[in-house]
Amino acid sequence: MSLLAPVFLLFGLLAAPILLLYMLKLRRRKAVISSNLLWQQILRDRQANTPWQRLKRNLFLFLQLLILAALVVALARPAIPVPSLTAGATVIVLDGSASMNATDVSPSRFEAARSRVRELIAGLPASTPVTLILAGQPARLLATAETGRAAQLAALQGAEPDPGPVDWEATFALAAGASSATGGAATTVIVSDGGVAAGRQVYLPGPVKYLPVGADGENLAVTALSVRPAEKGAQLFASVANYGSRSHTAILSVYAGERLIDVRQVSIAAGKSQDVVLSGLPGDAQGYTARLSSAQGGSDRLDGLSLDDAAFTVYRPAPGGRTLLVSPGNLYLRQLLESLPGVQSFSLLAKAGSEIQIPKDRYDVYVLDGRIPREVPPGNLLILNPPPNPFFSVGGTIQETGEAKVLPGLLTRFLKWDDVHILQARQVTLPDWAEPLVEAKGGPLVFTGETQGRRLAVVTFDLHESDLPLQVAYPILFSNLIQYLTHPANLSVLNGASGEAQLSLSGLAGETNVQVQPGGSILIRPAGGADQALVTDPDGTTVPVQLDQGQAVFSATCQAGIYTVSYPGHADRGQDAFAVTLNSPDESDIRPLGSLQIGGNSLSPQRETEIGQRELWPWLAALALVVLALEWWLYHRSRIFRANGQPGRGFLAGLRDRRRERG
Amino acid sequence: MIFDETTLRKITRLTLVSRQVRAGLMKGERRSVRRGSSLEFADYRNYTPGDDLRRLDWNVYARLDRPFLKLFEEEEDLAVHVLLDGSRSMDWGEGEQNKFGYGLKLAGAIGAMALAGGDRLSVTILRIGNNDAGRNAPGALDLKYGPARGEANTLAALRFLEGAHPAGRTDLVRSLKDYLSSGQRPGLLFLISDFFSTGGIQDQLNGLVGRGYEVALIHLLAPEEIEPPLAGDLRLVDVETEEGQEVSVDGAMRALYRQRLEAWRQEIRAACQQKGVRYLGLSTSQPWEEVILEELRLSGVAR
Repeated sequence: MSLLAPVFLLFGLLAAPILLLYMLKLRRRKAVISSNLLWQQILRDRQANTPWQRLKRNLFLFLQLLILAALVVALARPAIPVPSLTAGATVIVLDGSASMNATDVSPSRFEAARSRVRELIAGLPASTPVTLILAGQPARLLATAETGRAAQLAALQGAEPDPGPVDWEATFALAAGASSATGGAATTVIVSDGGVAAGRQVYLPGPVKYLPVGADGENLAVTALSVRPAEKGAQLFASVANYGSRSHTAILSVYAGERLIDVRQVSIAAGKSQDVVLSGLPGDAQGYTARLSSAQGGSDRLDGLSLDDAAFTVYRPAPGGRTLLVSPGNLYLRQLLESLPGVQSFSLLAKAGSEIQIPKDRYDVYVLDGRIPREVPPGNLLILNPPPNPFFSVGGTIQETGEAKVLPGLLTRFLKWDDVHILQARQVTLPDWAEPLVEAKGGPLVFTGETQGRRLAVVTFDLHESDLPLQVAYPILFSNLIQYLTHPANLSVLNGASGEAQLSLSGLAGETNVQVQPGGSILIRPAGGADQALVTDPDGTTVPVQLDQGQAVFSATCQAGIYTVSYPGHADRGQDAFAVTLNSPDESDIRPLGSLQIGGNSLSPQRETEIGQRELWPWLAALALVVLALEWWLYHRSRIFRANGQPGRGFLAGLRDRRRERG
Repeated sequence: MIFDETTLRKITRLTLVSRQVRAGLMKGERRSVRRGSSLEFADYRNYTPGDDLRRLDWNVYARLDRPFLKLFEEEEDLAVHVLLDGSRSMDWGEGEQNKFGYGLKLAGAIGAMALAGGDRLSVTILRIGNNDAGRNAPGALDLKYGPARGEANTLAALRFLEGAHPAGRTDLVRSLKDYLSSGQRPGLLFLISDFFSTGGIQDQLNGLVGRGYEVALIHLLAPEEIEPPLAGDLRLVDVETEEGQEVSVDGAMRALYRQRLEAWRQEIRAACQQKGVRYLGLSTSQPWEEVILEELRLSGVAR
């Protein structure tokens, strides 16, 4: 054992004032007796009249000196050497992913990891800087090179696991940064169940060690759930996987909204999965849930991880994308529109010089190829080779169409313009409301925007005067534009890293199926604009979200289930919905990994090879507290007995009397 | 009265026993060292009022119709000294257990026995205190009764005792010395005290025994002195000397006290045995009649 702050032992000198105070404190009661003769003889025998003798048998003095001794030794910080994983600066990465909620170790993997970290911290030499990073969504820095043991433990105590997958890139970036800050000398300790996706290219300076948690990998999960339109009603697809090493039987219940529509028993062999397809669903429900429960029924625990025992999805068949092509004759366009899924295409031949008679039927999108009717019908417009119109001003023609630039954005993903050649285009001054998608030197070639309550997409040249229809860019651009015009997506999933909104592919097929993992973000951008959205979570709690310039990011998606979004003041738009569901094979596969693949290195669980120091001061402080409480208690008891006029009775005798009285 | 008539009658049936035969001054009921025997007839003389009727020769009275007293060989009186410690330390103990009160009763009983037996009784309450001149003098506060003889004096003796009260200090050594030097006739001496007095009384016992006294020590202690109800850090003040003594009393200290008390009593007892002095160690919790009627007989002081 060693003392880390021996100078504090000097506080032991405080014993002297205590003794002194005690000697002064001996206020004796006067008692008249018949004779002192015998007492004098006794005291002469014992020499008991000296202060030291008098103090010798004082219990309270002994207790107070014991308290002082405990506190002084605690201040001197005695420590015993213990085997430790690390000895110097340490960066602890605590896995806070969904799989750490598994309960195969009691009470949960995360709590087990927390106690491993606590032990690790307790075994570190005093004043060792500890950086604590919680791998979560997003990664969180809980303590930065913290040297105070209490602050380290408080930061650890505040950590909670996330219900979804975690951002390992950000976590490792933080860990690398923290490690570099110590000159690369810090040891990085990853406390995890192995749910770190293998093969990540990460660089961590300094040694990296792995502390595994978790015991058992038995887990069933609903790994996929989707609903799509079919010939008759909607069709639901669910997949249940068994990640364990034994075959399992469970009950799969499928709900449409609150209504139970199917219950079946699924038996899945180890490492296999089973698909369930339900057809002919009414399709009127907005949210669908698939839930696994124990075949034994009751409150039996199904498996180690309950987060993935339920999956959620939303289903809203898009209204049919009806398009009307108004053109003097454009084969390219007609063929393209007819081939797009979910689009009902109609065409109207508009001969040059004749009046355009727009049918009274309503269409979602009017594709106006070089002609604009006198009365523009209500609806979204795709205008090609624009003539003068009420939406923007059109000048002469421009020849400088080369070196066109594609501006990155939602609608220009995967769009390659390099091989596109255009003879000439209409000169258009970009209006305020528009955003360019493709811009040439002379002016915009493609732009979109919203004005007068409708969406417009404009291609400023005639397809016949370009080779665009022959390029790959053609179907990509036009399917994106038609998607933009036919089915304005109010909600979209945000890719956390780039903040870029993704259009789901199923959206192009004419349905909205917005799913996000817990902790993910949703971009709310209602077509037609709104000031506010109301998001109702699965519990029924409604949160108002203010939209800034018609959009906002909603990230409070910790709870799995169906969320609905409505727009106050726009009741006619109805509700949108999105599902928060784990749906992550990485997280559902909760088998604890014996070794970890980090940056091409395989990390095995480490043994304690360094020598740390376990400080004993908390025990001493606790001892001081207990003795203090004991002293207080004894003091009050003795006062009570004195008050009861039983001065001659011993303390234990008093207790016995009291018990007798109760008896 | 310190005790009632019934008790008095019971007591007067007892007679004090002296182990020695002594030379008396007056005719008494005890044999003298002078020649002759009390059974031996000596003479007759006329009855005078006040004479003991038991000595009347009833046969002569029947025959002559005149009262004559039978005179035998000399039978002598016994000098009985009762010394009661009257210091303030004796005023200890509650009610019936008060040492001084208890001592008074014992002294009264012994006195009554002595007077009933025709012995010569002297009672002294030993007290040391400041005299009128303010000087601390032995015997200054002593209360004395007697010498008295004859049963008729019983009431007076008891009244004397009734009027006594404790005061001052005790210095037994000095008191006994003074008593010896006052030229008393040796006889049976009862010393009733708690013996809380500095200085050994062994020498004085030697003096008493050497002068022909037959001594009986009656050692009185109150129950509070045998088992003191004290605890904690105390300043014990002596009621006599008013001197303080600081002591922290706990269980161990009380045990030490008990040991010391027992050893002290043993020392006194041993000293008495050595000198042929009767010793009676009493607690005032013991009924005093029991002491008179049984303990005294058992210890051979009375019969």
